Amino acid sequence: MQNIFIIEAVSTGRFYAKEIAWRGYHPVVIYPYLENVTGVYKQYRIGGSDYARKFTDDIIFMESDSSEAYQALLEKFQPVAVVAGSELGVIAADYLARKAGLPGNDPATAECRRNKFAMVEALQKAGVPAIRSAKLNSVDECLQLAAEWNTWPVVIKPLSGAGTKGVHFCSSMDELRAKAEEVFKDSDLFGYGNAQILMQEFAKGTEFIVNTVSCGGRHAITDVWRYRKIAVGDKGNAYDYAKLVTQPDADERAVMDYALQVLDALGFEYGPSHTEIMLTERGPLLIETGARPMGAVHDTEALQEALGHFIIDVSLDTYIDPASAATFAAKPYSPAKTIMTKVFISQESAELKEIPLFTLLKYLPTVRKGDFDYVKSTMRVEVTVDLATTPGELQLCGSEEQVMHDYKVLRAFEQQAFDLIFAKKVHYFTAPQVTVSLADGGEWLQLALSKLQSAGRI
Amino acid sequence: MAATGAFKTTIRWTDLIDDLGNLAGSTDVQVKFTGVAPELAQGLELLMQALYFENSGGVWKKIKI
Repeated sequence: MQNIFIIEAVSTGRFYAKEIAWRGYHPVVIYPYLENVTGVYKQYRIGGSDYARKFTDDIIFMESDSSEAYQALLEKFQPVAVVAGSELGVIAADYLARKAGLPGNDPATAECRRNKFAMVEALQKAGVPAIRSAKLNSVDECLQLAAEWNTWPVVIKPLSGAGTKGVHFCSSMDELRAKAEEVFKDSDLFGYGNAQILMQEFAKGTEFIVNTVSCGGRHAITDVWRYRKIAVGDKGNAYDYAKLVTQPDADERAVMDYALQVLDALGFEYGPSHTEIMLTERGPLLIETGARPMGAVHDTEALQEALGHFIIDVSLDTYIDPASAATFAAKPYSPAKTIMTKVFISQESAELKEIPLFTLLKYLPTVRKGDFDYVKSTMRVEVTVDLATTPGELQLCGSEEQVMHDYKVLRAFEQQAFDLIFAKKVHYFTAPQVTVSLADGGEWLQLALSKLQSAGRI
Repeated sequence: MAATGAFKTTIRWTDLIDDLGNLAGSTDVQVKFTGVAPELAQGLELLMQALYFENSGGVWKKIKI
């Protein structure tokens, strides 16, 4: 059986193992050497490797990152493709693919697909608009440059981090000093120390995500997401929703076109990309991109339902089935349905007695999956200022009209009657009298009423 | 055909959601409420909208989307 390397199978990237096995290949999962892996990232790896183990016994945690160690793996397994499952696999995947003479991105430009400052430099070199950015070596350098820029807020982050670890929006010199000190002393998500950090101007606008696959340097857009944030008093902006774009308008087209320019500038030739873009008054500007599939944010079944494809599937095509990749690339971007991840927002912290939202969700046709583990286990809501403080997330999937209908009613409850979906007490009301009529189908009506009677409700 | 009934003296909010959610199963159904307590009015309005009803002169009619 022919082998395919998955470098760093975590998050969505772990699903490569299933897809590779399903296609009759043998997945070999490789985790690059990490000297000081953080506890959080260790859990990612455990989740990824546990999943992959269902499809392969060849799961290798590298004990060094020497070229000899990787060469030994190439000789042993002689892979027919190498894919990066996550950020940490990007550099090694490019290197191994090139070494084995397989399709992949040029290792000579790999840094600009991992290092966020190198990304900006590559855009500038290619004449693609970019956010004003600097790579800085100390807190003093941060403060000095912020004084020169004199525009607030500024954003600081690790150069090659992931997730939101070490990302801070700073609105004053004092805040910048405190946060920069913190980031320089800390490590990124993977455990690498932050000897240098990235500082950028804050890009104000509407946030988008554009996911793509590339094959032979030809890019195809797989899914585009538009985000909506809501100001939460003076505490910041909380996510309200992320929604799959189905019929792009002019602004969204501009974002999609810009994303493709970014991919060219950063040397994407094969495999997936996950690109975050802010649509500003200046036009679209890159936040950052990753040469890997988008994290496991959205329900995979809903994605399949709306898009008709799964990113891992079309991504794998770019390495081992270029004809299918070309067929996919020739299709216009037009998802059959939309998906929305509604992120609930609480205006207060409170203990809950019950969660009537779960009863209501049974009757909304677009509801697919939800993540309310925290609120269910604690029966508490907190003031929502970010994703860590949301009462929960809900996946909706259906036509534009249905999804927007269900979103609007949920948002109306959230704003106007929050206690009727996340309840601080068990609500009882004086019962109204109800008259029910049907144009036809009297039999059904009698059934419905007798059901209520037998339940002792009327 | 029409039928009238009154829920018992008090009703739990989650039971009301279930009852009206079940009634909303038909595309032809129309519902009229009387004697709605002021503290229930807003919640009932939102609930009926959530269940794909629209208010037409005091009668809630199913909408198709």
